[in-house]
Amino acid sequence: MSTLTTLVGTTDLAILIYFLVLNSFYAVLLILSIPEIWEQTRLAEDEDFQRLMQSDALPPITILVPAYNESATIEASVTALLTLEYRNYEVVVVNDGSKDDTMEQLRHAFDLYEIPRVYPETIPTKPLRALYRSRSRSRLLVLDKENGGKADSLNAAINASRFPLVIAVDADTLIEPDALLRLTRPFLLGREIAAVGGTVRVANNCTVKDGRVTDARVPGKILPGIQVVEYLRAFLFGRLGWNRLGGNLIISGAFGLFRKEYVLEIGGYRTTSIVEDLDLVVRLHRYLRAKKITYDMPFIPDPVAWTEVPESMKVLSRQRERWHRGLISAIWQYKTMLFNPRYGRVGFLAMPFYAFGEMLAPVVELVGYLITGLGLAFGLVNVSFALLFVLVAWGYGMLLSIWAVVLEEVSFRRYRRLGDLFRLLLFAALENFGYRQCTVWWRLKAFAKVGRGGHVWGDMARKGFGKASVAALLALWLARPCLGQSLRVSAWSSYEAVDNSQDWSTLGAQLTLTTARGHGGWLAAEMLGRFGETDVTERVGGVVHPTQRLWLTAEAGTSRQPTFSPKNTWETDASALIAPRVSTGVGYRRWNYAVGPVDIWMPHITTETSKMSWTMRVFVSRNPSHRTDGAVSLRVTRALSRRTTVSLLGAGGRESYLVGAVVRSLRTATGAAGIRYNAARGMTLRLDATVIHSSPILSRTGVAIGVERGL
Amino acid sequence: MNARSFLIVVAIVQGGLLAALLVLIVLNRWFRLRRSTRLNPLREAVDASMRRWAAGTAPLAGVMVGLGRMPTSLAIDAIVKWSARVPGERWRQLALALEHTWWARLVRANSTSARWWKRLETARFLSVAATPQDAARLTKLINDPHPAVHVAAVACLERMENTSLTLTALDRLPQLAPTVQAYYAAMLLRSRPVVIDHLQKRLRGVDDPALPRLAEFAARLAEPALRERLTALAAHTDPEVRIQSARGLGSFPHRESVAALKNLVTDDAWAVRAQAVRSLGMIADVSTLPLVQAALQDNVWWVRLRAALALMRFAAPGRKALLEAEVGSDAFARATAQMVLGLPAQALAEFAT
Repeated sequence: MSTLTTLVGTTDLAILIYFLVLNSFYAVLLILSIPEIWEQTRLAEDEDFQRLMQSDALPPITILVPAYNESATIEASVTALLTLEYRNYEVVVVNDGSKDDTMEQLRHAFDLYEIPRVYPETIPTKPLRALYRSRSRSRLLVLDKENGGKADSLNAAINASRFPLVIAVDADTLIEPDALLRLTRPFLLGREIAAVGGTVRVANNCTVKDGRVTDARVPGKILPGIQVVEYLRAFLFGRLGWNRLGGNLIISGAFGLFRKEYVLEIGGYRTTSIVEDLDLVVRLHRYLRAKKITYDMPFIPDPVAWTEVPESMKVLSRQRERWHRGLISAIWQYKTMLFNPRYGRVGFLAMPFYAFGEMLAPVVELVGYLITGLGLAFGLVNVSFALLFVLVAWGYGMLLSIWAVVLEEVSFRRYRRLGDLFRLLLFAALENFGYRQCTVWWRLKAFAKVGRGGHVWGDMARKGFGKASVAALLALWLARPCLGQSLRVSAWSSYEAVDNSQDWSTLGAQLTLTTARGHGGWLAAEMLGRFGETDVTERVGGVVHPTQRLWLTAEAGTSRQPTFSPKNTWETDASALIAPRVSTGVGYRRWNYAVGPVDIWMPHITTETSKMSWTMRVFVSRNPSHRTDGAVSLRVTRALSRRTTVSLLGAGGRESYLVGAVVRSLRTATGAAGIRYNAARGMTLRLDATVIHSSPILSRTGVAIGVERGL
Repeated sequence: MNARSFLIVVAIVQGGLLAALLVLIVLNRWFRLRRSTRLNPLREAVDASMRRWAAGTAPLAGVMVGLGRMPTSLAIDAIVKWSARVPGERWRQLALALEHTWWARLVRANSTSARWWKRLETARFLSVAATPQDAARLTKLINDPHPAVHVAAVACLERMENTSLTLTALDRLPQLAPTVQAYYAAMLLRSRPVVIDHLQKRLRGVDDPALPRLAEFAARLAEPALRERLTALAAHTDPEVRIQSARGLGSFPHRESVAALKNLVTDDAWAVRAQAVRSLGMIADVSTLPLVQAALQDNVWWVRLRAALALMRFAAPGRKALLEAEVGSDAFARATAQMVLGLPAQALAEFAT
């Protein structure tokens, strides 16, 4: 029962902290959205569209319209696109091997005639069947190609586009006549634009005439109605807030403008991606940051496109699951951007927010519901407290939704009727009861689908999880005799800036079980980023304490993708207390690299005074090149106070490192400093900084943070 | 404070905020409704009096009274809207009359405001209602750090001929992003003599970092007086300058232009070659036909496309050259010729832009 109490208590605390951090961030976005919407409204009101329309200053734009089985709406959609208020633009419609008569409809409606292909295939796509121009509409170009999906169609349209800016719109999206003019505002303000996003609104229940929304209404049905509030929240306060933080990660695929030059540089849309727009934007950020190009990716609220949202649970669940799979895929794919200073605010704010705040949110919410249920069932959680907590959490969600309604009301006010306003408020309130839980479930299903090995995980999925399962079983076996004893969980992360190479990063966690007599076992996993590649290593180890003065330690580790790390590692150590406060021992480590093993012998000695501890280690290694290297390290640890300890380490010599395909002997000099703080409740925080001078390569400086908690 | 008390406080604060937001929504609706009820008749009255004044059937005083009754921002909106519909001379009367109204004086005074939206309001107002006395204010506004303000202010050049303002805008032009630059260029077209005179001086400074942008602007003007300078720039070391020179020279069917383009067509930079070939097509001097024909075999697709399109502008000889290329031995030239010969006139015209 005590373990359960601890589990419920710790999880509750973790969820509370998560809730506080995430909602504080939302509050920041909310506050930032105020000046942003004020500025945007002001600029929108003062723009002189008449003059702009007459000027030829505005950049020419290509509208990309992928169409698959859009026979019913294609004529109206394309006609509406061809009559936008903009001086210089073209529309490229791609019939993506539709099975219905979309192509026939286009041919008939716009009097198409076939022309030879007049552009190079910059991005490879599925074969093009034919290219058409219209006799009646000179702005229109139609591509007929074999089916390859939306991303492939967009790539084909980009290949065929003539202009430097491209807008991707869905064939069923209705763009407001002045939306293009409004969307180009940041260009006229002289900003270095890589992409611009406009607002997407819900068209269900609106009156549509000639492909234009003439009367905006809030749907009466609950499902699309709640989505109106969701869209308002996502666009008017989420993305506006991100404008000020400089890390917009989503430019809607239904209505987003991109600089073609950059899109081409990154190879266009990725056809294997589930949510191609998010993937494209993240890659754009990565490319532009890596190339140190100054750029902006703002969201502008006043250009509006209208789209129909799902009205049935089945379609909606599929859509949300797909979106979440796309998010997981993108976060996984570009995980090296997380907390990577090279990517600035995108790496430190946007990516972590989307990873921990958006991607993991349904998991945390589910754990919250489960733990609360468990706590209530066993009487570990106070009922009134739990209800109060849920009330506050839901109240906050409602507050955010109503805030979005307020932003809409004070700025663009598309829904003018009182009835619509009432519905918006009603749906903002109802969203938390049922709908929100459904979206959590759909998003959790996305995790399940990804776990089952969808193509989301790329290469990693194909490698299987066999080794991890063995390690887990071993850990369980080790853990059994230790039940009821002390359990410690630790996690660490480090970042190292490496000279003339891609930076290194590490993320690891360890679970340690220790008996009262000092025996113990641990299980650790580390995710390593080195030389632009990623690897995951697992270690399992144990320590036995046969006599009061002797410790025997053994550890084994494996690697999933041993390109830069050993395929497996083995380590043993025997240490003995030889005098009061003096211990000595010898360790042996074998690292089996793909190119051969490295054997390391490590004699060591530790001595302690009342406040300080000194440890000296010698490393003698033999590498596959039959070279023997030697290094020595000295670590001094001193307690500053009851809770704080500092340590300094100096080391020098030659060490064996796998570099490329060979193990090289590098001359290294290392300096490290660290601080440990033992907080309350068995929590330890640590921070370390290292400087390693390594010749001829791999000199690096880094920081590491760690947290450890005893349960 | 324990966790329960904390949550109770949070719940109370949330409840208060929710109530405040609901009140805000209601008040906003009510305020807007009241405002539009009050202002719509005024707006209609101003529109009616403007219409009558523009037609010469009513005095200006009626317009001034109407504008004076409206809030400043709406009055400025009305002025900007009507400025495009009233003939210049008549509009100048309104601008002069506005100089003495209290609200216009207030707007003018805002040109030095610390708040950008106030300066933007002034810039919009002066862009259509400036008088010669506003030159200093406009100079400051054209140099304003906020992009919306200087973009609005530079529109005054459409109506005002003032050398100092023109030169201020011209000096700022090279530092601007391409879209803003194009907008400035459109606004500067009215002050052509001053601009050309200034450009002739600036285009002489071969080390001027602004040269590529100035050359681009000069090319856009297609002004014969600048031909000589653009021809000289054809030998500039910066490929960006040579591109603009090649682009600009296409507007001048002069032997010196043709000679410069003949050199540029063999430039190392493919973008220069593409522009030069395009310009040769625009001039369509038969003596350059072999050069354009040779460009059909260039190793860059864009140069080949430009060459093929240029050959189409040479009429019969060009078409003949393309037909020869279509059955010739060079695969590049053959494919490009095939492609362009298949294009209808409309597509050719579109590609030429």
